[in-house]
Amino acid sequence: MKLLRRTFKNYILYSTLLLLVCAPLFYLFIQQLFVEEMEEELFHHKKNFFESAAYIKSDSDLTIYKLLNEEFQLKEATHWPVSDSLYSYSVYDSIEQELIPFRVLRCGVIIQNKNYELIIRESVVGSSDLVQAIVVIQTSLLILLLIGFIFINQNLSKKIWSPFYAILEKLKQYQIDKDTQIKLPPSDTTEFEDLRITVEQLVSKNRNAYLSQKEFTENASHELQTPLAIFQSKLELLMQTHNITREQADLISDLSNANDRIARLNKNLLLLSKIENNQFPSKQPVLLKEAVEKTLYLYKEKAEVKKMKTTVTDESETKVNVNPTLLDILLSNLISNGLKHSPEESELKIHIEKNTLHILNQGEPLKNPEKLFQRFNRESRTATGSGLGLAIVKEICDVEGFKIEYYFTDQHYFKVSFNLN
Amino acid sequence: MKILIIEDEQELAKSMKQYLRQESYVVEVAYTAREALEKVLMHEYDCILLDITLPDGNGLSILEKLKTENKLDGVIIVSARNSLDDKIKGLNLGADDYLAKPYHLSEMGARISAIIRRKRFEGNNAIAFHELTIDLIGNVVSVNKLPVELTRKEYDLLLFLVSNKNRVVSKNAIAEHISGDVAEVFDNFDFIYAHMKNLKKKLAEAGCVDYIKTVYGLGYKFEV
Repeated sequence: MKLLRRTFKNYILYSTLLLLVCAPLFYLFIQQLFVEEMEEELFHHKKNFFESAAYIKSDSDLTIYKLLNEEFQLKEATHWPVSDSLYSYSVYDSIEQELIPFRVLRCGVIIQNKNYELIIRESVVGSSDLVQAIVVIQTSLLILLLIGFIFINQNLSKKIWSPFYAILEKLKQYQIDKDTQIKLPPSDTTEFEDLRITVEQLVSKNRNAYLSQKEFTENASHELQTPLAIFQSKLELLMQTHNITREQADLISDLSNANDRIARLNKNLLLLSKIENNQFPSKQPVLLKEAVEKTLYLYKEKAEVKKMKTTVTDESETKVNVNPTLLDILLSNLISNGLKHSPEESELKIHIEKNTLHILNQGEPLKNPEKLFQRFNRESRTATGSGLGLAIVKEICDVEGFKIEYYFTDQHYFKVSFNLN
Repeated sequence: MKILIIEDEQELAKSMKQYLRQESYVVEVAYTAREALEKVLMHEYDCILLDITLPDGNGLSILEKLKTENKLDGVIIVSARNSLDDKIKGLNLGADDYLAKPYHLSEMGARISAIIRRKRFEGNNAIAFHELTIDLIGNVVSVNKLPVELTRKEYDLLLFLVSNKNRVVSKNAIAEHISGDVAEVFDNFDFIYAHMKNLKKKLAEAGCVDYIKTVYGLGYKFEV
């Protein structure tokens, strides 16, 4: 969940809850206030009536008063004394066709020494409409407030967090092997400024570590070339000496094979660091089919020794914009890999489609296909390859922007996609 | 024939010298760029092996000096960098060939003899041992003046062995020589055995003495 949404969720939950709880509470509260107000009014009327009652001297006065003040009803008391009581009731209004609620005060009054029951009533309709209106207005206000709050909060948060998102975006785009530095936008928020400085330092430390590791591989490989050359030359001189026994010859041969393997391994390591260091920058369009056929020709004899058949099919005339040396190495490694790991008398199939190269060969499924392109990953210890061939292929694909995929259905299947953009 | 080895690694220089001495070359060694420049300016060499990563200066500067002195002919650049840049730069400056360390001495021997043959026998470039003649211009091998049909690989193989005559050439060196630069070499020498068998058979059928000896466990030797 996104950071902004997470805070939002809580805000909105709180606000909705508040609204749901407060709206009825508010309504009840206002309602209560009105009822109280109305009752005060009723008692006020009662007080007025008592004051007026002093001036009523005859029955006709009383009748006039009754006619003038509809809200008062006077009837002779059935019992005495009549205590003050408040209650509500509704009367059906035939004009409006609705029940009209009233609040009523009943009390006793003595006019001209006669006991009367006085009923003062007040229609609640007007006031309840008012209460409703007030509640609606208040609720709308609350909702508007909430919407405004969400809106402001969202914009403000976006603004406040923008340095954070900017840093995140830059970090996502950063590639340790390509970008020399990371430039993050400064912020006037202390925390983000801290974050920026820390990230920049971290990246530059990592970059240095990466560079020194890369440099180390390259330097180590360079430095190894000379002692390897010395060792090889001495072995060759040893071969020229006289009276070598069969036992010695076998030993020398084994040494020579081992030395060749080290030399090859070293050469491949060096090649790998060179590809990583982008030392093959120049590109030109190459007709893929021609390059494949040229490489296959180099391995013609190795295929013949294993009685293997190789086929190339192409319907697309695909041209690849690539460093020709890298393409040669890529094809050479893929093809030699295919030949090496195929059973005798099988077939190596190469098919070129528009911008893709498919290489298929038979063989047992891999135990760890996910490690196929890792350095020094070998399926079996008996294999004598450098363990770098496919790692080099992967590196070339990365550098040149190709995509390589490996599948196994009933045979090994490598797919290289070129010209991706 | 005089050869100059410019190589700062003494042990390697020693090996090279020892290997080439068997071919009756006069071999001199320079360990530093300064020494090399002195020698180069004072003497004429048929072939110069130049390591371009010297402690007291880049070997390429020696190459430039040689170019201004017009003594470029017959320079083989040796580099531990195995870098395409160096190779291209060196060849552009006019070097004849390029060897990447580590290399087999027999490969070095073949390159040197190719250069020397080209320099010494202009126009008439052929190697002959009794009944066997190799015409290096037409790439034709003949026995008793009758041409023998060889494949490209068989021809390369014969020339490689002849260039290192009387010395054991290892299977590994042959495999690398025949496979070329790009191809990854398999630890399988079957294809060499096949080529060698065919080559020997064709030469024998043409009536050639069996000069190519199999050296147990190690490789082959062209013996005359």
